[in-house]
Amino acid sequence: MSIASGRERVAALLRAAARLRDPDDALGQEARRTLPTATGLSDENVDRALRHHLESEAQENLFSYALPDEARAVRTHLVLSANVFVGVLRALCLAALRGDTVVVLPSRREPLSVALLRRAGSDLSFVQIASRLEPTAGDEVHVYGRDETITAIGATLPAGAWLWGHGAGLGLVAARDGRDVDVEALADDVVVFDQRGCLSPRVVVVREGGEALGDRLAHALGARHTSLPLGVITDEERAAAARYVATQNAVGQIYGELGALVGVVSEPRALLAPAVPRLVHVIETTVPAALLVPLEPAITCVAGDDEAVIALFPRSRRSVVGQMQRPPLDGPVDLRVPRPVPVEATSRMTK
Amino acid sequence: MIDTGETATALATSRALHVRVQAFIAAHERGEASESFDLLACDIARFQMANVAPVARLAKARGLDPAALTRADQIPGVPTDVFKLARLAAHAPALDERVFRTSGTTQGQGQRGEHPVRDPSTYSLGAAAHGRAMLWPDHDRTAVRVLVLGPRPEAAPDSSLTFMCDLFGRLFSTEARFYLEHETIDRAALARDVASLETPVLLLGTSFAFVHLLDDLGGGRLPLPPGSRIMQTGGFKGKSRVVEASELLASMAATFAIDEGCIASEYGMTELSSQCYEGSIRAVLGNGPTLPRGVHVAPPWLRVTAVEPATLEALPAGEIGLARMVDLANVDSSVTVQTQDRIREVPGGFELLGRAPGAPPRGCSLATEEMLGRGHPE
Repeated sequence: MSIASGRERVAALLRAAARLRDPDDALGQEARRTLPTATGLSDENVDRALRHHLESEAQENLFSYALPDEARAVRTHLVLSANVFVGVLRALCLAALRGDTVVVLPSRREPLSVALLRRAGSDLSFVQIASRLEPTAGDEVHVYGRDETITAIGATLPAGAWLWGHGAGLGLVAARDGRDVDVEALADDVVVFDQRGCLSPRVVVVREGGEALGDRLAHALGARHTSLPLGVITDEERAAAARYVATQNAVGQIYGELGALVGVVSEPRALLAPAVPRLVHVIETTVPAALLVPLEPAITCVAGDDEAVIALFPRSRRSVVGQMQRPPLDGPVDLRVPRPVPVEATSRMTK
Repeated sequence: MIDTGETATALATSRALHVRVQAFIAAHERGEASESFDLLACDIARFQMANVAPVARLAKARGLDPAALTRADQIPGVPTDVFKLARLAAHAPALDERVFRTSGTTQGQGQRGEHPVRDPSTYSLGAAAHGRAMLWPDHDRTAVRVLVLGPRPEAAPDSSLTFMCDLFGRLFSTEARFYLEHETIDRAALARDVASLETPVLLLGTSFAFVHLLDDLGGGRLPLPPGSRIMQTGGFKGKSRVVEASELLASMAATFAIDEGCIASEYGMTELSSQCYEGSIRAVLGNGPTLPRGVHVAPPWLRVTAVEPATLEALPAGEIGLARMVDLANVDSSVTVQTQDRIREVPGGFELLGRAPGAPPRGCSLATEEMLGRGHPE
């Protein structure tokens, strides 16, 4: 029997998530056993994510995303990518607020997390797992993935459908003085999910104190090797790290080693922060705007005390260091496209 | 960078090194013995470690004693990214005779790599020598006319490819003719010139320019005079259409009515001062061995080796790795450049296997490179 209210559907999803969060629950144990292999994250990182990053409580703001007319039956299609695995819960909550039926296309690379959540709920019959995307006019399609994926799927949707794209991105910290940054809190934000989330801080901009920050942050990251070991690193990531280190050796400073790398560069002409797990690129500059404005479409989340820099990213989620990976369940993490748009207007999806 | 107090000494050293490199090139062109490649490379590296800040920092970070250098493979490779991030020059900007820049990206000029050149004569000497050997080995008995599917030099003053094409025009014939105006190839002018010429043509252009021209011709032919040859360069990054190399080769041969062997691919980078070519034209004209397609030949003043991507350590010949270039003609920037291009050393040259893809971001994270685009070869 379907649940009539979006609020009740969200509650059902949160009840299911609570089972996965619980290490004593059979499904919580199964999640801890299977997700490390499926995601490449360490056992400890999976456990940390389930305990501390899988949301337990919805904020009232979340319900503002419900359809105005809940009596109208709407089907929501949810296309998932191999995102941070706990992100499935938020995606399902948003989809459940927009439709009384949620048809999920799991990621081919990581189908496990949605299957676990589905099994954990006794009243999640409104969630259907599908292998094909077959929306009709009036349906909503929520797509999680890279911009090209969102654009490609948008191009296949029928007129009258609605598209909500949730793209890739990265987190940025803007601090006036690197010496004042809470490196322990920042390291916590970096290591969880091995920086695979679009909220993960990858770039830090400071006016001064860059080298002091780099040294302290590398130590803080290195100290987490034991408590939260690094997961699998690919050959491509190792190569990118080697290249980054050589480049930083030539133009700036490098602190730490693979798995706890911090590069610091002063007044660079360009930006370079490769997708290597647990790598933070620190830029010390007194004129950040020219360098950072081109990055604006990619920044999902900003934190720090340099309001002038933060103001360059008006569409990004505002957070605080140490909480960047724990946004309240108040809506999508990616605020750059705030609502679904009609398929006829998919060009507006271009960020 | 050389400051005022040290300018005279450093400039004198730079000039002396240019003289040695030019002598090295000239000796090889004449088929005579030259001084040791390693000795010259190490002397250039020592000069750069003293006068080019990023090279000095890299050497220091590796704990390298410049005085102890004896082999070129001991010189750390400067990643091509550094050309985007910092000025790589042993001289002040006021002394720049040229500044070559990598192709722009959609995110603006700031992401373009820059290669300042104080003395282009060494670049020119090397480019002409190897270009002549690989594209025009019959220069003693055949005249060619250089036609370029590219912009005029004044329209692209920071393009090293345009600089080289113009150089070939001036050295190999009376002048080069350029057919790209406002991103459009003047097909009518090209057809008119080709029809009026009786001497063989050396037609130069990027792969994408050739694709554009072939599309524009719509299957029509544009036969070049007998003895003509074509040099194509570069890939398709950022372009809307990509064509397989073998398909493009066959189309070009059919359209221009020449043997596929008379078409050679060039491999060059803004960050380098020397170029490499497929050996096809040289082989067809009986001046060199027949090498498989995709195998490029470096000049004697450019040493290309493969390194392991995760350690940047040299690999045994025959193994696939990233190309590390020791280019003696890079006197005033970085004699050793670490590229992201995958190669395999083979007898007679190196097989070019395309750009290493980099680390694709996992999850929903994003690398700034992905967002901002990358510079790429000419």
